[in-house]
Amino acid sequence: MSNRYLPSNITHDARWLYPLVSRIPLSGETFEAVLLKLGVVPSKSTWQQWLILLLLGLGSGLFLTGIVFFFAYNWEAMHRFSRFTLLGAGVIISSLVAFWQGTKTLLGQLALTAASVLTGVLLATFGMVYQTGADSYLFFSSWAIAILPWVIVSRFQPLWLIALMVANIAIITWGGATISQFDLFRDDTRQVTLALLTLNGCVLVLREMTSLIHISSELGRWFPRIIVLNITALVSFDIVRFIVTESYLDAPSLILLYVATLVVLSGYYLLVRKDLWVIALVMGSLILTSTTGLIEGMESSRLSLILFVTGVYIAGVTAFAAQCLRMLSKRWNVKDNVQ
Amino acid sequence: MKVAMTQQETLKHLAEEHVIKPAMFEQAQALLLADDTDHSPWYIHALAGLGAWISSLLFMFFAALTGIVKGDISFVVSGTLLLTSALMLNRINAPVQSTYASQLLLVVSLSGHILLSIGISMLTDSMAVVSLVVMGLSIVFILFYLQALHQFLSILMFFIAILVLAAESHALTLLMPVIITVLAGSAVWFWLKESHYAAKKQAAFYHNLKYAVVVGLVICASLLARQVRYGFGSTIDMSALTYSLTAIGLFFAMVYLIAHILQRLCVNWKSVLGVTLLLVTAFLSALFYQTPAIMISLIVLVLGIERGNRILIPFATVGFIYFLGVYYYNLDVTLLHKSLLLMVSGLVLSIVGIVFYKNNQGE
Repeated sequence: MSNRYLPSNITHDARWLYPLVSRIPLSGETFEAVLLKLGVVPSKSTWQQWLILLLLGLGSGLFLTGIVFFFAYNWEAMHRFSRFTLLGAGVIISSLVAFWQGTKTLLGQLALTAASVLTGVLLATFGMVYQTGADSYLFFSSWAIAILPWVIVSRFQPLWLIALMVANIAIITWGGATISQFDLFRDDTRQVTLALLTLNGCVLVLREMTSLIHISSELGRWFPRIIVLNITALVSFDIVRFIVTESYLDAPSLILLYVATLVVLSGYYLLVRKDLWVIALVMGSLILTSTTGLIEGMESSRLSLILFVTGVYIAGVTAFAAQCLRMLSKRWNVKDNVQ
Repeated sequence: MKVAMTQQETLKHLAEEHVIKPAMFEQAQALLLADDTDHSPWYIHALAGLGAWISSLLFMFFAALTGIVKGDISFVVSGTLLLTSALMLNRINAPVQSTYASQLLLVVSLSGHILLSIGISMLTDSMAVVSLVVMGLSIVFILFYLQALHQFLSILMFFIAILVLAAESHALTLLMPVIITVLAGSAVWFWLKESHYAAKKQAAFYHNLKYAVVVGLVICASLLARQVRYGFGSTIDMSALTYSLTAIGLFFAMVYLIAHILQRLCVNWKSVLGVTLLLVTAFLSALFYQTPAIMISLIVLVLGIERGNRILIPFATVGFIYFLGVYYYNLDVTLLHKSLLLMVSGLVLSIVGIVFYKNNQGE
């Protein structure tokens, strides 16, 4: 399988070979030749691709970081037009490079990412210079909307991640600004949770739909996995909050949302996508919420009893979860083996 | 969409290409079909390990609260009993490899470690003695406890005990460069010789060792990234000499790694490519000498690429980004100097990258 973003040695999974080596037995030199043949150990041309990726990625990353540091330093000393000129020039130059190289090349994608980050810095500068009094969520949402066209055309997962983070922060800061006494433990913050779930859910659905067309390798899975982590963390936190604060407002809908989210994720990633990482996350969430429920349920008992029972429960349930995951892993490997 | 080769097809392809002998192909096929090895990814082990740690801590608090364990002697005795039981029962469980038993024994062993350590600390009032005991226990468990996750944890405990011993001896600032250089060199050695060690009888031990060395390196990097907080209220200040010596050690580790890769690819280190890489390494080592964690992330990243390892690469990338953020808080250099250094270095690296990119396209 090939991944158009990364050199090919990283898409070959040879983990299944390692336990066999000493049992066959293969000599070290033969095993190294096997890894070279399979492309796991990179060839000269693969290393050339990696070197270019590292130099360009590192270079652009350090340059952007330098710019962020620069604007953090003695900001007051610079005239406002100098600030706008520098930032504006950065956005324009990056955009021109992206246009010249196109979004099919790494250089073009990195340039587009730089333009997106600099757009945010430019907007922040505008707000600081002119003291517009705008709330934080307006800044983040403006940033997210401004870079949306670039995000769509880039087809570059790191840029999608940046845009998603910005959009998530926009929603969280919106909650802070618009909900009186914004407190993560109040019920009306559920609006924020629902908004975050909707955003992350839509992005996940879009990503999984497009992945069938564009990205087929295992390594392309990191972005949807991060989104699933977000979603799982959100619903888990909501349930834990509900248990801890004993807040029974809309309890049925809360539980329904939690169960529905886990069922949908488990169903899709068990039956359609076969992603063990997501199943592990779902199990982790269930362990967390059930343990919280257990501790709350024993609230009136002695502390020593709570400690003992919780210890036994966690040991048992994590062993059970690990066992289930191992069985799944084995079954999916065996299925692959006999096809 | 091209479908990946199955494991069977891969073996057949290797046999057809004469990379492996036909007899080896048949043996490998038979082993695959028997399929009694554990293919589970690292996060399953992490889940099991985390569950065991939390359980053992809860049991420990339970024991202390109920007075089952009271006083220094009882801590030592109960800890020793638990450790001995874990060792003996592990030998019985080893052929069976029951997941539940393995998890339970892991909890028992970790609880034993904690209780024994606390008992010895109460008896001797010396963290140095505790460190030595932990080091001894780690060696025993590495040799005799037949479970991969525990072996990994034992190796880590050994490293942490060394650090504590160095801190207790007030020699941490002097020893840190040595420890990091040795760890970095070991990481490079064990990962580059991965195939050689995979063929040995103790392959499982070397497999755990190579990951544990990388984790140990990251722990040391994290300690260096911030002022080291030790004990209650005290701090250990790392001197400029510590950082400089560490940077030099990491520079040589990276040079060794790059030299190995160039030799494998039959590229002369005196060529334009070799010299450029050497200069880039020296430049980055100098630039980030006060945050050696960044160089460590880069070493781990290059190792991950060279071995095609999909765990090292993302962790190294995340580590690099995190430690670059920590660099922001380095107060010994002004923000202006840092920003200019970063921008200039970023530009230089990008230009070098573009030159290679154009050359590559030309070829």
